[in-house]
Amino acid sequence: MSTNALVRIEAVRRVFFRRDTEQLALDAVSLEIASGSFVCIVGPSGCGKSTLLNMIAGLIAPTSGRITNAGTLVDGPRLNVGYLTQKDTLLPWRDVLRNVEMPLEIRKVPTAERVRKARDLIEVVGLRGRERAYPRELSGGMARRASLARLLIADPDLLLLDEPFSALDAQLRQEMQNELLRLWGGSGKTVIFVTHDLEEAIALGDRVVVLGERGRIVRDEQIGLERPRDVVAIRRRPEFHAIEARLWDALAAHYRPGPAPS
Amino acid sequence: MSAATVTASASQGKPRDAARRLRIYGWRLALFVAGIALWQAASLLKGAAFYISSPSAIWARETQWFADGTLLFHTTITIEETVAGFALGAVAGIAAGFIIGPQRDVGEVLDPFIIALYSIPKVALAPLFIVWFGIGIWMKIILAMVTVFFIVFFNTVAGVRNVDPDLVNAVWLMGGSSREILFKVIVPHALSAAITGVRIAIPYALIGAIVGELIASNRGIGYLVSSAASQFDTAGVFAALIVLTVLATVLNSLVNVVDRRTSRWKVDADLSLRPN
Repeated sequence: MSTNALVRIEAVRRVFFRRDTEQLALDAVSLEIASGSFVCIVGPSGCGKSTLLNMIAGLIAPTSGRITNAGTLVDGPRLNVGYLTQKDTLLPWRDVLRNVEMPLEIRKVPTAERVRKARDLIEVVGLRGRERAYPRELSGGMARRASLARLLIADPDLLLLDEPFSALDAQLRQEMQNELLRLWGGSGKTVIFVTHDLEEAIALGDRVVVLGERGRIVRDEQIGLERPRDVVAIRRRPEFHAIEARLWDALAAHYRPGPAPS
Repeated sequence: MSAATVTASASQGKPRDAARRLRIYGWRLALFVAGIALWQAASLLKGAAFYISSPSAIWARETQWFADGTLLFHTTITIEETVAGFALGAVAGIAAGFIIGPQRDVGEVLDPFIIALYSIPKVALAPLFIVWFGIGIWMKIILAMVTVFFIVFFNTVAGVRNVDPDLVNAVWLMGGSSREILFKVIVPHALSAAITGVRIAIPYALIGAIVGELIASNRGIGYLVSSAASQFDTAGVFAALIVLTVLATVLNSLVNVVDRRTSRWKVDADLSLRPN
């Protein structure tokens, strides 16, 4: 396919063992993610979306097949990859500022510089005044913003986002979606955004990949909607509904209710 | 904790709540006075004073003890035993927890033995400790220490072992080495759990010291209780119990201070490892 692919997923298969039974999470998935693009991966729960993301992040290895990032094999976490998981993983004993500083602390960035950068990003995500709050004192939305700031402070080239806003209420989710697009716009960063929400995928992405069971790609569609976008306004466009109907049909046609994912 | 926070924030600056507080304090005072009066009245019944003494006799004993230095002497001894036993037990518990906690295999081998030792009622060890350490202050310190040790130890081990793997992964993804994961995730998490153990253990240190004094000693508040009882001096028993109540209340408020200081960031320790 394209020559400017940042991430190449080649015939990746992943098996999990649970109590001596094999579970095939992903079967022969191949996908290329173009550098600088915003790709959304949609699929029903249990289709292997998170597994795929974990492998791109280098947290787990494929059972067979390979994943490369910028031409080299992914065999562990990388500094230029940022991963925002579904669950907040802010350290409870550090306040917001110290949590956001953390990636730079690990890189041995001098204190003054990392505090300055952390304060800047806290401001960018709209958390000014909450620098000294501990995670348990934050609302769900504020914790997400803090996580986002921590993700961005490391200035990653590739952002992996796993249903980052699924726990937020509708209004806050739209606000965060717009925020994300604003932060991404013109940054040249590559985003892989996993969600089970088709509308969210279309509103955000340049491209939507619909996964069926075991990560089978049932539809791969370029989204021709203009940039910059407003996620609320764009949902009212007739093209939006046409795309949504097409993708929904693809999703429904390949959806077979199986055993509930554990 | 959260319920308390809600009440506290809801009660801010409302005059009706101030009136309610006042009413509650009023009722408490009334209940206290009524209880004392009833006690005093009951003591006048024929032969009753032998069993229940009377508030006036207890008060007289208290002032006498205060005046002749008995109170200060015995209370100091008990506080020394409690504090020393608590400090030694907490330090040993945290240290042992950090040494054994990370070594899963060693931990699994030792688990049944540790749980067996933990399950022994510590009171039953007192006679053995008398043989080993005599009836002096060290026997009480060690009894308090053993009680505190296990509580702190189990909390620390649970803290080391039950670190949320997502937090570990998060730091790993940031490029953290296993050393950084240890010092930035596992150690703070375990310390936070250890503090929970330390908090729980505070009253147990007093129990250990008092039990030691009750069994064999010639000083301390526990000794005051048992020596008075052996002379059928009910007023003395109650006077000593009141001193003990005050001491325990002070220790409990210490627990609240620890709670307030740590509740902002403390993790909810999962104590699945602790028996019962």
